[in-house]
Amino acid sequence: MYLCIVLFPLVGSLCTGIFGRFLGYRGAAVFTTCFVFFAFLLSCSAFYEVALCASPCYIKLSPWFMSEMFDAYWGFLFDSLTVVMCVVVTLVSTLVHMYGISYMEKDPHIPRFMCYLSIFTFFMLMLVTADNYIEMFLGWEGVGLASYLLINFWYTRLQANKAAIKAMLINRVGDFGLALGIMGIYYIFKTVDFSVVFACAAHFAANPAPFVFCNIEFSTLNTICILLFIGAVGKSAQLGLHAWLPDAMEGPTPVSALIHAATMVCSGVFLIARCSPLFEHAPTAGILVTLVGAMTCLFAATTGLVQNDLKRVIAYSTCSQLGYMVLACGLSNYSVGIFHLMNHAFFKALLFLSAGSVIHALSDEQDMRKMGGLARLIPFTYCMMCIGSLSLVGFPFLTGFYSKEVILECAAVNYTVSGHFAYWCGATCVLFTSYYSFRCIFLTFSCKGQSSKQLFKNAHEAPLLMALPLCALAFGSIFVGYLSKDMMIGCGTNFWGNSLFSLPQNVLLYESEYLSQIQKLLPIVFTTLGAVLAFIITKRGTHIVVNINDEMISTAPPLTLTQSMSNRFYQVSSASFFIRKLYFFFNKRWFFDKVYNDLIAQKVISFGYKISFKTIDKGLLEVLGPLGVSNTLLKFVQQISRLQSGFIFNYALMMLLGIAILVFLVFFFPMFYPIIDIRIVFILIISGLMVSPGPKGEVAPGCEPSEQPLAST
Amino acid sequence: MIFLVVYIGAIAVLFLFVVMMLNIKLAEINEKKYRYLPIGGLLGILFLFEIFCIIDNDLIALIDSGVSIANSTQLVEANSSQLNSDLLTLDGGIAPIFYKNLLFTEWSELAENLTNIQSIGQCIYTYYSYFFICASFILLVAMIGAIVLTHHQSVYVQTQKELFQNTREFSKTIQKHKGRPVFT
Amino acid sequence: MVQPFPDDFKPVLETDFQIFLFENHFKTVFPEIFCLFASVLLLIYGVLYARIHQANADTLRRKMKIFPPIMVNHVSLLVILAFLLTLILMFNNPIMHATIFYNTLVCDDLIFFCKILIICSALLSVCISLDYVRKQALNAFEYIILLLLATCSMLFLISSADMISMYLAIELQSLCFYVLAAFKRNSEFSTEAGLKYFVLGAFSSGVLLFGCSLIYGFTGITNFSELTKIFSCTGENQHFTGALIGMIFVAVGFLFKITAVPFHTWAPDVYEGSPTSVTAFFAITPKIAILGLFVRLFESSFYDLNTEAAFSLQLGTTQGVSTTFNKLLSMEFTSTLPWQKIFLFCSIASMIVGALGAMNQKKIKRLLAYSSIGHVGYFLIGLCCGTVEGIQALLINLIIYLVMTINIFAIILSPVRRDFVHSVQRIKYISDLSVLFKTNPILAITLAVNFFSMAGLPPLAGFWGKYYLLFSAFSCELYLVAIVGGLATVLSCVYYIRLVHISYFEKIQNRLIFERVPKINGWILAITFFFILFLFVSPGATRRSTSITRSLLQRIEIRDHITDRHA
Repeated sequence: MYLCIVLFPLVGSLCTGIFGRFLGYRGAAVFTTCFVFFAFLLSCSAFYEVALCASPCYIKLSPWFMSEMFDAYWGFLFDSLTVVMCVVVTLVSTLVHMYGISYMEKDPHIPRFMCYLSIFTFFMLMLVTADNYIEMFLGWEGVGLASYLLINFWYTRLQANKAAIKAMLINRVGDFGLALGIMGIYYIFKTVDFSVVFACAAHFAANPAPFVFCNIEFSTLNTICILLFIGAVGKSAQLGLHAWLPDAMEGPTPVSALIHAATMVCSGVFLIARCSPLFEHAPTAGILVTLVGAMTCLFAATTGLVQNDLKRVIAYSTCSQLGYMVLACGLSNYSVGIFHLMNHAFFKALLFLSAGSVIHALSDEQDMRKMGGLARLIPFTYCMMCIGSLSLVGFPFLTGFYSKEVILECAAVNYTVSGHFAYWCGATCVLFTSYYSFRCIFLTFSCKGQSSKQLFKNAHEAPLLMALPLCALAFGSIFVGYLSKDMMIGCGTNFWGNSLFSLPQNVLLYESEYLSQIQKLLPIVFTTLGAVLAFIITKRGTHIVVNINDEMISTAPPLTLTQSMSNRFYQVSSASFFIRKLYFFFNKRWFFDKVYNDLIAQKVISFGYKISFKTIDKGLLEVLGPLGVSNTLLKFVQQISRLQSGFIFNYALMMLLGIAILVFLVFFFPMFYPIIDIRIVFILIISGLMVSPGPKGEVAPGCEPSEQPLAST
Repeated sequence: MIFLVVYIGAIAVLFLFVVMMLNIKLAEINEKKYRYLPIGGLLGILFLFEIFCIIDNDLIALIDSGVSIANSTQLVEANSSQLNSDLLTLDGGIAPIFYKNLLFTEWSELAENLTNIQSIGQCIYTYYSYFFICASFILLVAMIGAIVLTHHQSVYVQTQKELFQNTREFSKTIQKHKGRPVFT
Repeated sequence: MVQPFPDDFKPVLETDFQIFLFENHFKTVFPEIFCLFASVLLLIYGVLYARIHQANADTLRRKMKIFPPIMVNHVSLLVILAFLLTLILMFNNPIMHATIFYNTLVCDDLIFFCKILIICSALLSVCISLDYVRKQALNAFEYIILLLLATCSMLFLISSADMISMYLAIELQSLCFYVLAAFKRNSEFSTEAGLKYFVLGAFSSGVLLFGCSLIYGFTGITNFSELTKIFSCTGENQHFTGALIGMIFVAVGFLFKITAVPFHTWAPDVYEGSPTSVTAFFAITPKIAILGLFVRLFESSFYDLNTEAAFSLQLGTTQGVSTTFNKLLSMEFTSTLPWQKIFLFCSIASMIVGALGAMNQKKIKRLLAYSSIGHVGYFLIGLCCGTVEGIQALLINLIIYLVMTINIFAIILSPVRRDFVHSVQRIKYISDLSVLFKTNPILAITLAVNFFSMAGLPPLAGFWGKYYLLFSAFSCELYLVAIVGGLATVLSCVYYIRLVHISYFEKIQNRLIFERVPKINGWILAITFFFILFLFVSPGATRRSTSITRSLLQRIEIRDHITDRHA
């Protein structure tokens, strides 16, 4: 049964991928959806057995790599953490599959789409069920691949191509860190198996054996954890490597819901939680994790404030929520992080799918400024969006409320610099979250319609297949937090078993009960404040910001539309200089992209072209390597051919020479040996091979650099 | 020994056959005779030098070397017959030369009294019959080779049959065709 | 130093030889004897039958418009039958371990294995050349009988336990080969090949004989097992330098026969000149025999022959530059035994020359000659390891090489039709391959797979052969030879893959058409092709098959163990 959880999506994917054209349009969709649904049912049963009955399951299937000391198995580890992830992944995946059937109705490539979705689910399950780092890495790369394919699903769109490549490249940076981390683990622990590594973590924390790199000593566990965290940063779009996530919204909306909100981006958090025994013994890394999480939280929220694309706003919100999770994990409250992950999956998937529904209704219009007044046209979607947003902002007793409050409380009671920093970032974020969420709702649903009549005329409510997943997720967004709070993060719960580990001194849940009332209420206050602000700013026409909007955003909407909007929105011509700058700053995402492009990408490309390609590859290496060797070889070959003269006496002479050499070798070589330095002989031979490449100064026509560097974007 | 001689003869004959077939002009050989002398000579000298360097030790040791003589006396003491050990006790002064001669056993005393031919025969037809057969096959192959390489045997050879030709009647040789002429 | 004969030798002389000679000896070598008799009978049959038809030739031709049967066809089929029967006899031989004919021949598992290989290779090479022989009008049945005789001689060679029997066997074999090489009398290439082979072969025979006589002169022994005993106590004894030179000469004599560099010079010319069917035979069979003999000679008889004490190095090895790197690369030529040095040198040289020499060739047979030179280099790696692993790798490689070479020659021997030129009905130039894919795609795939295998690309058979060899070289710390082996593989890829490239992608240069492949060639091609392609399913199979040589291997293991203990 456990193996079937992982294998069902794979089977569905392969069948659809290979026999998609035979299954047909409906067939492929139904087929994959059913398989994923079965996987979901099995996950539920696994959840019952493993989590509720507290009987973890450990399957060692077959050996994979066996090389001396290095051995990696195909092994599957089902503990509470895994099954929670399994349920979340398969549930969201099933719903998204279902949603996708209707959403992608008009697309001729639906079998391919379903195939990708299923293969993604398979890799995600591989990731969460792996019992060693190598297998997890397989899943990790697999989801990256699936993400790339899905972002690039409409491969004829230039923007989609760019976004996909960007996602792939930025994720490579993170993967590099993760790979280094795994190597480091193998180097220190001599194994990649989770159970062994975690069991030994305490020992290595007590007896540190520092890495020495460039004569600088590095603390072992801290280094490993930071490297692992770099992987998590890449995948979970934390500050620094976040740039791909908003761009990834170029993919179809169901994909955004599944991959870029609910599951894949959370795998970074999962990684940290999975490696909790390591992170527990690496305090420095923990601090770093907290800081990065808090800053991501703040950064993404501020950027989200002023975005105009509906999906982008939600993407930044995702980013910010991921910041919360990472922050919680950094403060050693892994269970809280995972709890938030689960809750977030529900309400964020709901939000994305509702947004998809809106976009679907408006014939693929994503700009919020052109929406408005949709509440009456599509009330159901409006409802869903409201539930999602309320849950997101932490409206009391909805799902998001339970996890977010706990995170903030934990941060508040962690009396360290990083803890306080995290707390204030988080608390501010609540305000911002509330603001952009409500801004979003107001702009989309309650303002007056901004766009052409045609657009609104065709607006329609989501069909049944799209509505069903929304309903399911809405229920999740409302009730899941309430139902599972005590189970997952209640005081003294043994739900997690051994899957998560916190040092006793790091457990903050009890402490947070004694937090002062004001501090506890602060998030609620901020939430309300944010909502009110959003209401005032967007509705009541203190149009402070919007005008600047028009000045700055010169690209997106056509000119006429801009003018019409500026008329409508009008009006405050004199926004203060500071606010203008700030708006600009946020809208341009803190200039991250610009800095990356100008300072890093451009330099790297020019370095790559001018130095490493032109000078080293086509110059030095070409002459020393292929060209030189081949020329020398040709010479040799000709000489050897010349030896074959065809005259018997020459042949006899060679034989005699051969005998003389052999006699020399056997009898005299040992005498000469001590005088000869083999290294010098070796160098002579090698240089002889290298340095005599053909006529001097002549370059073969093939080795002129012909490619031009790709235009950077 | 005999089969060796015969064998060498056969090889030589084969060699001559091959050379015959090739029809090499003598002038061409003479022309390049000295061209390769220096390098060949150098190589030869080098080779000889190497061999002498190595063989030297042993060969000289065989002629006179205190160590090896001492060794050999011990060997003799241990292994030689009663007669020899008696001689050893007679006079120690002239022992070295004396024993050096003794090292080489007189085979004629040990072996039965046979003539050369007889003893070769006895060896070759009994214990070493395998060698004999083997050598015979070598000769067989040499023979086959010589015949195959030189004997022109072709199925397309035009043979003349005198009897058939002589008994042919002229009148039957040329006939008049009834129909149209046939050119054969 | 000659010692007087012990007295108790006398009774042995007077034993009734008949009793111990005829009891089981002939039973032991019955397959070989059968083979010899078959060759003699077929010779007689051929001579008589040919005579009869010579008389009737004219009448037949005139009256029935048919040509007299070319004898070689009959005789070939009969020879194939003889090979099969020999094989059956060999497998059913009741006596597998024996020393017979007064210590001149010996039988054991290794020898049995090599004999089977030899017969198989001879059988296959006759099978694939049936069509060639028929069409090429090599109408002399002696050709095939010489093949049979040569195979017999190799059987004797492999089982010889004495210098004299060894020499006689190798001489019988070489004599057959000289004639075979020159067999196409109307071709100048063939006669030239025969002559060159003969002259150089005589030279090498002389060297071999000189070596044997040196060994005999310095030890007084011609028997292999006796040599083992006498050499096992070298080291402190200094009197074997002469024997050491003898050993070098013996090795050179044989290295000539298996075309190891620098004694390879005859090979390209002879391979090119002699008829293709003979080339196929040359390329495989003698190598098996001689490498098998090498294993017995050098892994047991000459194994301990070492005279380092003779040149007690006054310079001292320690004062030289001895870094790890230095040690790694020079270990080959300092810490190995003398016989290992010989083979190491030849192995490295063969691999390099085999890889480089083949690049410049335009004729396919010359190219294959260089390819086989390269392969010999690899074989010698296995030999010079001197370990069980090495020998096993060598034997595995021999099997794989046999299969690959039969395959490639079966392709080359497949008939083609050429415009304008009627005399050359086989592939001759490399550029001829350019039509292969267009006219016979299945043959093209076979060729491609085979060349990839020869180049050593991973899942194919050739890769496993090289893998085992290089692995064994690494495990006995012969790094230099292993590295050179790897590099040579890379180099040889160039020309192998070039051939594949030509056969698939190149523009057609020569106007010729591949005809239907003869049925028996087709079968052999198919079997070998699947062997090459699917060996990776169970690469251990070849390894297991070589385990029948375990008796020898155990012996070596024991010896290694003892030497380890000494060290």
